[in-house]
Amino acid sequence: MRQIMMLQAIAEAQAEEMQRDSSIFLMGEDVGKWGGCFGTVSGLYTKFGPDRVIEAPISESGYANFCLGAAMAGKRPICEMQFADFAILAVDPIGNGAKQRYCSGGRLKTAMTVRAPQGICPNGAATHSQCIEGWFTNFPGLKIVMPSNPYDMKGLLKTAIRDDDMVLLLEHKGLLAMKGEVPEEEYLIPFGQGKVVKEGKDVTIVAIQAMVHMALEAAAELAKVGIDVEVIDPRTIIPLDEAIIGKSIAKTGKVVIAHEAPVRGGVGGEISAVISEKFFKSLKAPIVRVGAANCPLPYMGEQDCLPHKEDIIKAVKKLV
Amino acid sequence: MEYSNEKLQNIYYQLSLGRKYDEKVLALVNTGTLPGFFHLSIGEEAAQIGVVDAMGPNDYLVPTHRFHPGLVNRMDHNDMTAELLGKTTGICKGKAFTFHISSDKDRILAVNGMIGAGTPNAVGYSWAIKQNKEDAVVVCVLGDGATAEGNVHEGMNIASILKCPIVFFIENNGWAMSTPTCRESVLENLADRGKGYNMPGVTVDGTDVLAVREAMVNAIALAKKGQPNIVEAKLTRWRGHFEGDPATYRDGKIIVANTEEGDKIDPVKIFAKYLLEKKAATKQDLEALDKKADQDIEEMFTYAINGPLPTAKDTLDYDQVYATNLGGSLI
Repeated sequence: MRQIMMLQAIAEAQAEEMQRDSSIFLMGEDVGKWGGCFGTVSGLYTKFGPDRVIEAPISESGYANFCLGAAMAGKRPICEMQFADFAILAVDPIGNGAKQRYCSGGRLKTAMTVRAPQGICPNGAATHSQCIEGWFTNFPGLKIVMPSNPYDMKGLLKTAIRDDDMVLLLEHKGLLAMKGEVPEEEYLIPFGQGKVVKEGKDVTIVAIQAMVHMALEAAAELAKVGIDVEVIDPRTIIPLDEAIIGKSIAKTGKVVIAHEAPVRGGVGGEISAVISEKFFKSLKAPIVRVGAANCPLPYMGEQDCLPHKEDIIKAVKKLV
Repeated sequence: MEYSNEKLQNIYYQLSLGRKYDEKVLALVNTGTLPGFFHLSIGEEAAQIGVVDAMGPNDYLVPTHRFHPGLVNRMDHNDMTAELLGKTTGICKGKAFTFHISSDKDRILAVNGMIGAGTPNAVGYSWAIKQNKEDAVVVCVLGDGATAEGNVHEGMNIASILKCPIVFFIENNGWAMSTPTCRESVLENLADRGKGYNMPGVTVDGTDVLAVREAMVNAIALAKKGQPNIVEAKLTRWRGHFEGDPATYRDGKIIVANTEEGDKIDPVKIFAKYLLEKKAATKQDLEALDKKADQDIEEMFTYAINGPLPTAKDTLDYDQVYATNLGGSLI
């Protein structure tokens, strides 16, 4: 099968969907001739023109709210945040925008996808490197999608664009150049279906986005010392595939949850609570979370803040 | 502009209905039976009726949280009033109140609870109808206070760049909650807020319904040509910010109808006097219109009061929270 980069998968998914449905448009900063800061909308401006690929002035709240208005008029906007960090200026249109359906008694549609590249960008410092999923988990009506590889990205992004709800799809900047198998023919991946990335029997690692790859590296090292871990990629945070996590813990009885965002207030806390509430009887040890330190990311020295393979290994070893 | 007597009398009816609507709400609030925050528009009817009466049947309206007189003349009375009372028979099944109300069938776009955020929403909507080649505009209503919000400026900027068919109507009632307009902006006229976006703006007397209407007719025609623009109507907020506000910041001053002070700026009385002087209506005509407004108010509130309140099942209906459920846990 052909291999393409994650950023190509993103551009391809959007191009195919925009070709299929003329109500879809893309809006974001520098999405015109430049093709976006990270190349994820490359070729779209040339193909679809300025009416379907709109270069936004630097005003995240303004253009995200613009997209929300257009969505309520029946359009299907793809709203790009240049860096996910900038979504802090668009929390209202995304978070409160997701409530419009409910506020109208189920009548209005907000078929809007917000795409936002997040995660460590070398030396990006405090406002260009964050993982932001935790900021948005407390908005009823919003869905959050976090693909970890090109195949999942394409299938989940297409599902997001077709979904009638507000979807926040987070891309990880560190994975954009990652290559992976993506078939030429069309496919969709439903939300709420996690994936067992690696089977194992001793400890479950629920790994989110970039941490999936780190967990696999940790798994390879742990295998050398006879520890057999299972790695689960939830793929979507809302909705969450609780069943796949429960099934794995029923087998292992032990769980590590890993994400790149700071531990405190991160989605690991929510997943941990779900496990305690629903699968407590399966647990043989306390749940362990791995994530960034509760410290803003610096210009120099960011690796001291971030979680590493060694942290996952240490966490797993604590449990066996 | 020339108006037939019939048309002028219809405008009077709308003013009267608007006044009586909020007087009815006030009476209900005073019984202590209505929950929520009520922002009334008593004294602001000319601005609101001037706007809605200038709009064509295909045009869209974004109201604010203080827009009952305009709304009741633009949307289904029963849909609106049942929503105001939080009934399942309301247009938004009691989820919205008039804070977040919307109605597809009457082309009312959702009121955004975040002051000013409704502006870029409205701009996005107007861009969408332009793309769809609809012969229509969006009229986006703002308060004076909202014009200090970044969202308003971001929205106006995008509207001018994309040449959106939209009119920004600023209902300047002199107060942003407790803050007087002079503390919100150094501008004499808030219509000048659009100058940075090369956007024309006019300021009119907000107690003169025909002046507002005519400014809006021109503004809508301009917007249809792809020139977003601003109409500001200046008037006075008669009451506190919401019912229950002691208005200490203005020494508790409330303006009431049928007083010497109230009569000077009462848009309903000013228009009645104009009609009588112009002989466009007789006293009896106006009394008959007031009576019809009373009857209509009675009917819509009776309908609303008789509607059921939402049950817990109605409230926690997750099909209203999410449109699609493709598996996994959404709740």
